[in-house]
Amino acid sequence: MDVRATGKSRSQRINIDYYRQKTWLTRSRGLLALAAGLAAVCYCLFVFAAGSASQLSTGPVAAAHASFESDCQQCHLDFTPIAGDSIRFASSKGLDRLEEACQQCHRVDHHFRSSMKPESAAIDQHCSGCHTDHLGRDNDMVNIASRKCTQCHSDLPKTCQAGVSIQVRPNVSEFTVEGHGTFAGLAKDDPGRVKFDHAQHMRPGQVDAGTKGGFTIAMLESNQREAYRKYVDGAAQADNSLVTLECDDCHQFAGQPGQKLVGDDEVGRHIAPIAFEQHCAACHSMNYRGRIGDMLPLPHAAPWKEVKVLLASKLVGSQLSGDIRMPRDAVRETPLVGEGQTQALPSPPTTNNENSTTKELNQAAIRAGLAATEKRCLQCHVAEDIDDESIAALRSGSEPPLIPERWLARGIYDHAAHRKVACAFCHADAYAKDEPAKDAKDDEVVMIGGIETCVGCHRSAESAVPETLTNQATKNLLGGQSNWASDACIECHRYHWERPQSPPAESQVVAMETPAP
Amino acid sequence: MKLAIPWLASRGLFSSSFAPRNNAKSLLSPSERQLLFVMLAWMMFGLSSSVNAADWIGSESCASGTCHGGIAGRGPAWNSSYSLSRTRDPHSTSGALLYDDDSRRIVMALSPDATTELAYDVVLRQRCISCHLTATPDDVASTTPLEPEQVGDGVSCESCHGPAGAWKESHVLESWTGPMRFEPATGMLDTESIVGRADGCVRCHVGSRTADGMVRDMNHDLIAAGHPALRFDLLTFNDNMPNHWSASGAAEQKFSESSIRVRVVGRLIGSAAAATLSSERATASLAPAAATHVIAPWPELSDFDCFACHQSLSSRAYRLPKTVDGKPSLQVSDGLPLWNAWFTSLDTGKLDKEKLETGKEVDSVWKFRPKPGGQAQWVLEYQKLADSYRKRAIAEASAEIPSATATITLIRNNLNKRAPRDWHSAAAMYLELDAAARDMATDPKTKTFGTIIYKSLTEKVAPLLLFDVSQADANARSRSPKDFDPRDFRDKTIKILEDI
Repeated sequence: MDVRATGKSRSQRINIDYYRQKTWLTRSRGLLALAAGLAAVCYCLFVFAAGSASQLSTGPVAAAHASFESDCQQCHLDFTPIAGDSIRFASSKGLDRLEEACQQCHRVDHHFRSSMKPESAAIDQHCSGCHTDHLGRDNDMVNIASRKCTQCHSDLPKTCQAGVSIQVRPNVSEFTVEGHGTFAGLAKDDPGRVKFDHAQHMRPGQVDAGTKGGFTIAMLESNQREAYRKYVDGAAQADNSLVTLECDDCHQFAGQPGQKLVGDDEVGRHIAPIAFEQHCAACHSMNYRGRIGDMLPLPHAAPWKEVKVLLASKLVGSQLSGDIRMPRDAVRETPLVGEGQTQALPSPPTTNNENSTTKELNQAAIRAGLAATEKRCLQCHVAEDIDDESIAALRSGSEPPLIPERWLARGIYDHAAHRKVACAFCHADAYAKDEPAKDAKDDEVVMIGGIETCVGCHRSAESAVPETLTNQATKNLLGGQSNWASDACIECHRYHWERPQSPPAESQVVAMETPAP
Repeated sequence: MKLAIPWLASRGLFSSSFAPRNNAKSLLSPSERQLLFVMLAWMMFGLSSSVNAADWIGSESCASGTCHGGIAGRGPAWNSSYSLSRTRDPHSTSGALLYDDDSRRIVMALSPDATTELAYDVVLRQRCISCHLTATPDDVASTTPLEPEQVGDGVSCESCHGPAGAWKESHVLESWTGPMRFEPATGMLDTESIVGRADGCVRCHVGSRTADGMVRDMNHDLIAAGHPALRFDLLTFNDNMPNHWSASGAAEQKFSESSIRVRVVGRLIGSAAAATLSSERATASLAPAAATHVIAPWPELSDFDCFACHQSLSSRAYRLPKTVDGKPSLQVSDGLPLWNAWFTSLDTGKLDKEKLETGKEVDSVWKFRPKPGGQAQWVLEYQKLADSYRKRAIAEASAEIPSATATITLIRNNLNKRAPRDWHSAAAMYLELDAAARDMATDPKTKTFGTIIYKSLTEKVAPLLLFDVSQADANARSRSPKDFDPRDFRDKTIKILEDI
């Protein structure tokens, strides 16, 4: 059989007018078009009528940026994505626009960028590398995940250019004793230069147990008594009660000092610096030869020239008022037999009739007063801190205060956040020991607990409560505070330096790296 | 010691054969010689100072507002004792006045070569600061300028309370109570008992050549240079100290319950200190000049009644009252002055001099008159006298409170017999009457009489005893009672007492 295919047979294999035949698709296309049109209308209604902006954006901006949420061009260029995995039309332009927008308001300086390798510098270059928006109104853009920090700090030599001197621990991986290391501010010798005995001041009457002569409320000036009077079950201490100091008699909450890092002043509360007039003078007023009645004390931290003038005026004034006895003052309660009340008081020096004896005596007394005042200063201060030059520098702020305003120079501690915790939990050394000889001295020891004090609570969420926090004594110190808290870097550390008025040279930026003492 | 031992040996003090019969030293027994040697060693090497120099820590160690530098008038007295002491107490200015015109005159008279400030300070160190400042033997021996701080402090806390380094820590203990506080081992001096307080004063206000390892000798040279002679009276001095202690405390009760007793004990302790000083002066006069800062002459004229020699030579001054036996007393002008007339010239009253002197019926006027030579004997005689006074003072301090009215009656009777021999006798009588009147004024039964007597004595009798200090020029002031009239004193005193 001839089975050879013919052209006709071949052509007949395909229906030649197939295109004229209606399929289900052609039959229903009108319907589909209508449905699509309706769907489009519904979507448009959904997007525009129902106000669902999520269909047009990656998400609501954070509350801080809400005012320009509907003005995308504040931060973005049209059709210019910023994400690294986007189809790139002009990605660097989109990112640059966003950086420009951020820095319009957030004038912060870079973070040792000049010391970084290019890939790390690129991270530092772009805010959005760490701060992600469009994650909702409540998104805390500052609450940076610890991995953002450890991506560099877990291996700083990898991050930094060759030859850069790394002044911080080069490998911080987590907030544990091993992973973080000792607090830098506590690793050095005590930078405080004021001699002070916390333990002695914490004892009732500021005297040791078994001793007498405690300081009482009555010994204070009348206008100071209420400030130091304590109330026990609503009953006020009597005037003859011992003055019992609590930590907050001298240490009050204040803003974060040394605002070099962005956000320092926003985070919690620090402790206000100690001021002599406010915290010491009630018991330790500066007097030459003690104090009688309403004689004014000498001002604290006054230049010596001023002290001399004040001593002179105080001496002569007090002599004339009878508060201080004058040399050769022969006034006696009971006259001596023979001598009697025979000698007149030397007259004070005047411009026209200067009494050389009085002048000599007073000059000697002033010299002695200056020497005695200096000795009084040295009870709390060291000699190099009390010359005129040092006093002027301290008063002007050109020298750091004698008691550092901030001990944890690289971290931020929020006293307010820890207000339930007893002071003794972190400052155990400041408290009196059973034996006074064992008391830690304030100018020798920094009385701040190290990282060991923190890591018990500030630990990963998965870790168990350490045994050290489970005993009742510790619970009492915690005062009901939760025994877990975040261990994120951002709890204590900030990243950006404040941008100076005029941009610093690179060398200046690096200089700021040196922590405050 | 290398220098001293040969010298002492040369004087025979180590030899048992050292006893020529016609020499005062021959009277010394071996034990007495031993005592004399020890005293001499003290004088030369300051061995009497057992205090550690580091224990002198300065008054600033007391000055904290929480300790003794508190505000006067608030809180307990101890809290403001430093403030009161340093502002109101004359001791606080005793250093500053070393630089005034009067002091410069005195120093110039003593050491005309001290024309520079450093030389002036060195003279002050050697002659003045042992009393005028709270000083140590090292301060006295130094040749550097005086520290202003030390000068400004004057006589401060540790002068009277003892070097505080030894007891600063322990004196705040609750167990620090009672007499144990003043045991020698503690280093704190007794300022609470009458005897203890008087002992503290007399180291300077009478003098000593060994206490605290320093020389505090108000000798004739210093008085001649212009320093007032010392006339210690515990009751007066205590009055003039601003109370930097609790006046109502138990310790002060002994001072407030009997003025007579305070005055008697004070005078006895003063007498004991004067006798000890005389003994030490005798000892010092035996030492080589190089061993002491100041050459010690013998007899030391300041041991005796100043006014016996320093008196007017007018005939009026010789109108001396007759004694009971009709003969004029030779105690004033015959060149044989009384030893320490301020303490011993007592005509009557509780402090009869003959009872004070070892119980022997001897006339101190003659026994202790100045005689050249024989110092070794005098060293012991004066020390015996001092011991006798001291025993008596201790007995009087705890004896029954003397009767004020009996004292007044006794003095009135004696005045009726005769006028006081001299200014010193009158002054002693006045002080006894003054003490008796004070005691009467504090007794509700005799308050009215006591107050009147006290006021009358103060206003009418005390002026009679005043020295002539009318000269404006300090150099011209005589500081002697050249116009004192014993009969006027007797008449006015008797009138006051009899009017009552």
